[in-house]
Amino acid sequence: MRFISIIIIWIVLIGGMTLFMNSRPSTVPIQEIKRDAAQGDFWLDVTTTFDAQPDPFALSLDDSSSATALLVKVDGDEILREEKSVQAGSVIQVKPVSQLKVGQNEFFIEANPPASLINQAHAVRCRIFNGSSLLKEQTVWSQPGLSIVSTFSIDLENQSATKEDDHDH
Amino acid sequence: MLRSLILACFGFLILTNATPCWAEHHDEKKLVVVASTTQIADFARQVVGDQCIVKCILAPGADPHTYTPTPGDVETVLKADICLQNGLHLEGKNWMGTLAKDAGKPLVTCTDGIKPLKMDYDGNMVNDPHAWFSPTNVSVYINNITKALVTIDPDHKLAYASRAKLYLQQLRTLDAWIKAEFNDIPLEKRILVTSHDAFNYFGKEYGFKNRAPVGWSTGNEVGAGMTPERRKLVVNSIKEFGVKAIFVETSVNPKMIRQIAKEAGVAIGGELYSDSMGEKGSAGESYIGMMRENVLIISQAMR
Repeated sequence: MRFISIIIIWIVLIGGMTLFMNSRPSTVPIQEIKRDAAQGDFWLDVTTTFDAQPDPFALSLDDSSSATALLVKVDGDEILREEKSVQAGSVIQVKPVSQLKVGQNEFFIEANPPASLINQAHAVRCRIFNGSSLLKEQTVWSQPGLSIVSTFSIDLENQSATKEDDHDH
Repeated sequence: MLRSLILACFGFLILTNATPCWAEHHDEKKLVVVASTTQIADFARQVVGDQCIVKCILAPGADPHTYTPTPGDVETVLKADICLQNGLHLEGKNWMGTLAKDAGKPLVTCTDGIKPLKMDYDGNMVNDPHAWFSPTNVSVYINNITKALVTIDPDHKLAYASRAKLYLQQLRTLDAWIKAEFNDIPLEKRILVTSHDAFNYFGKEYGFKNRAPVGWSTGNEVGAGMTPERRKLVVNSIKEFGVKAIFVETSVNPKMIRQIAKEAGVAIGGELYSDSMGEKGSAGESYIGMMRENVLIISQAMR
């Protein structure tokens, strides 16, 4: 009798626990964090050491987007897309950059060297300004055989760049 | 009373466990993608991951030019949600197109958008179907496969696109690595003699002149098969350019190329993956592995 009671209690416990686990929502609602827009006259310039060309290995799922030679995003928002060749050494300005927020902002750079020079290392220099003052200068490098894909961040709370968050590839 | 209590508890336990399981399996019905060749099946797997079931009509080592579908293939295509083929007449007598059409399934031609190489066989111009030998062309295959999957399964668009982007990066790296591997082989020494004319895209991309005793197909289409003139040209080229080694292919009978090697006095450099990839567990079971092994075999034999 005692043995059967133990089995019954176990079944009720496991069953109850299973019911509880299965009835829980699978995801916890995520609280949206609202960040204020950073105040300032922000702009960006980008310079490549190579003739950036449209990427022959690009993914293009619809007819509206095609292969890019140079792409810059801030926290996922595109701020620069060049679909034609970009000459080496030419300075491309993005003015203004209105997507910046107070706190950390991550820049994403993607640039594609010409196929004939793919086995050399290449670089892209990015400079972020507020008005006439330089906030951050970052040069990102490619490994031979790869296009340039890199991120770096800037903290606009204290107006200083965060070196430890740089991720060069 | 006690028995009823036990039964009730078991019933409760089974109900609480079984219902969610049924619901999950019901939700996760996987799409079935059927590819004609091993290469296309591999490309599809790179894009779909574990989200779809990918089946391939051809077995590793089988020849797509001469393949005849079986009743089992008809069954496979009937269960498909989408079919993928190479196109450009790689699938001899349009066997994949016929299978898909008879089963009423959507068919995607992965080479759509690729500018085919034209080959002249005694005045007959033929499109070369072996476009996958250029990694840049494979990026078109990947784009076509991804677009087709996004169309029939838009809920998984982000996952398909993310996997496709990662694979495209790997293709770029492969392309750059191949260029670096062949860089120290002089252009005049880059003569690639293989069983059949499958390596023209590879040759164009990496600076090789191609020679083959058998035309673009091992079947009996225009420009296909072996001719005495073609065989003679191959032997003369080997002697003229001082070719060190020639190559057999995994999906083509090696008898003829062995005869030519003997006649011209050159070594067999190795066995290349061409129209089909390798068996499961071999280095050539994936496209990148197949290309890597081919490049290593060619570059080692030419040094």
